[in-house]
Amino acid sequence: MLFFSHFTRVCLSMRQSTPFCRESDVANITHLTVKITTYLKLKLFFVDMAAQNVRGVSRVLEKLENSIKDGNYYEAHQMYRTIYFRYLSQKKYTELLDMLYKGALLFLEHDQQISGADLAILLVEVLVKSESTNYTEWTPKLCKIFAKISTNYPERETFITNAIRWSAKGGAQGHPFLHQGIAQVYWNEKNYVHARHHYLYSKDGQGCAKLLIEFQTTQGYSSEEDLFITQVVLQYLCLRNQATASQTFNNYTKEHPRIRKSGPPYLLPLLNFIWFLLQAIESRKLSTFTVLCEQYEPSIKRDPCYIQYLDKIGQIFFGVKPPPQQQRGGFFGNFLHSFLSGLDDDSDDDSTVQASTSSVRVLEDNTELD
Amino acid sequence: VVLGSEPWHSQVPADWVPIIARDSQRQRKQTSQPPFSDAYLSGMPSKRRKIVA
Repeated sequence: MLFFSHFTRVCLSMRQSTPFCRESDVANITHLTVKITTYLKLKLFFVDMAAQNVRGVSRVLEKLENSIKDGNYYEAHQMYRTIYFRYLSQKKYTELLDMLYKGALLFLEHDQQISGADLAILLVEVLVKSESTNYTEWTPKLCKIFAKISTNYPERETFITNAIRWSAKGGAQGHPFLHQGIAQVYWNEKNYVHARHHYLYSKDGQGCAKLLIEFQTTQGYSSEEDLFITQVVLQYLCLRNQATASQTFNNYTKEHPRIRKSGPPYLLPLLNFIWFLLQAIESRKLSTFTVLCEQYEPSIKRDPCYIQYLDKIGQIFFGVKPPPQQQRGGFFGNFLHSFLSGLDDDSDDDSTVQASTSSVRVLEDNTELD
Repeated sequence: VVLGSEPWHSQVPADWVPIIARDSQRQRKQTSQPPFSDAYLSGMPSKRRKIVA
């Protein structure tokens, strides 16, 4: 080790004294030196570890944490990776998960984004491999890491996409609790679009309503006060989540500064329509559903998507048979499929569509993933 | 509104009828929908968003 640090010093002095020594050569030699030093340290470290197997785990953690705190990031990262492979082959999942979680956080707290995100991704891999279904324990932890990875770092998406996929085990959409946590992280970042998207898969109608009010009043038009809530209620219903649909509607209408009043009926017809629709779903009476759709047609037509959603809602809650043209596809069939496949399950056919802006593309990716 | 004066009245709870009737009137006076905000459009499925926007 002494030799190598001496070697580095020689290299650096060479750089100062000899004008013919290229900058890149020095960089390469220095980098190589760091690698070799780390390798030797690791070897010593594992000999040490094997010798004291009993107290091994806690000692390992302590050593790694100190390594990060001292700023030896490269070395620490290599150690984490080495131990990761070691523990994985021994199926020491509990220790491994704990180590990766603490390590990822520690790196991120020292703004070592690449190392932090790398460990975070490994963490999700271990959750998958260990077949853990402890969503209540891991959701807050994963969200804590997610919030600390910087938004412009692409591995962030990889991490959270994999986490959602892990939590979707046995289902199509990812765990509602995890979606709720992700929505909150996005909301803190004022990323309303992504927050809204994840609330749709959560069961947090209260949070969703609060978010929608903030989103609508800051970025929507005043003519859209009723549309924002209608859109999300109909989408919840397409996802068969009438409980959260109702909760979101009740909270939104109660707390929105321009709608807020003691209760229904509302001044805006569309709000009455949704209020009646939610009750009709309880009764499952098709004739009531039909009357509502007829009487409120002018309001329903304000957003061309609503008719499509209501078709689906009729099928889910009122036993309406899907029209044959829709099954065959056609323009509207395809359109509906593109939405519902995003919401429901299966793959979708959106991948061929070129998005016009990057934010839209991100949203599409998210839709595909769920 | 005279309850039972129209066929649909019997298909919904009686206390809904005056509200729906009033809303029908209001909707007749409704102006056409102005263009949507980007915020609202962002909640639409991607394909429809491109058609409407």
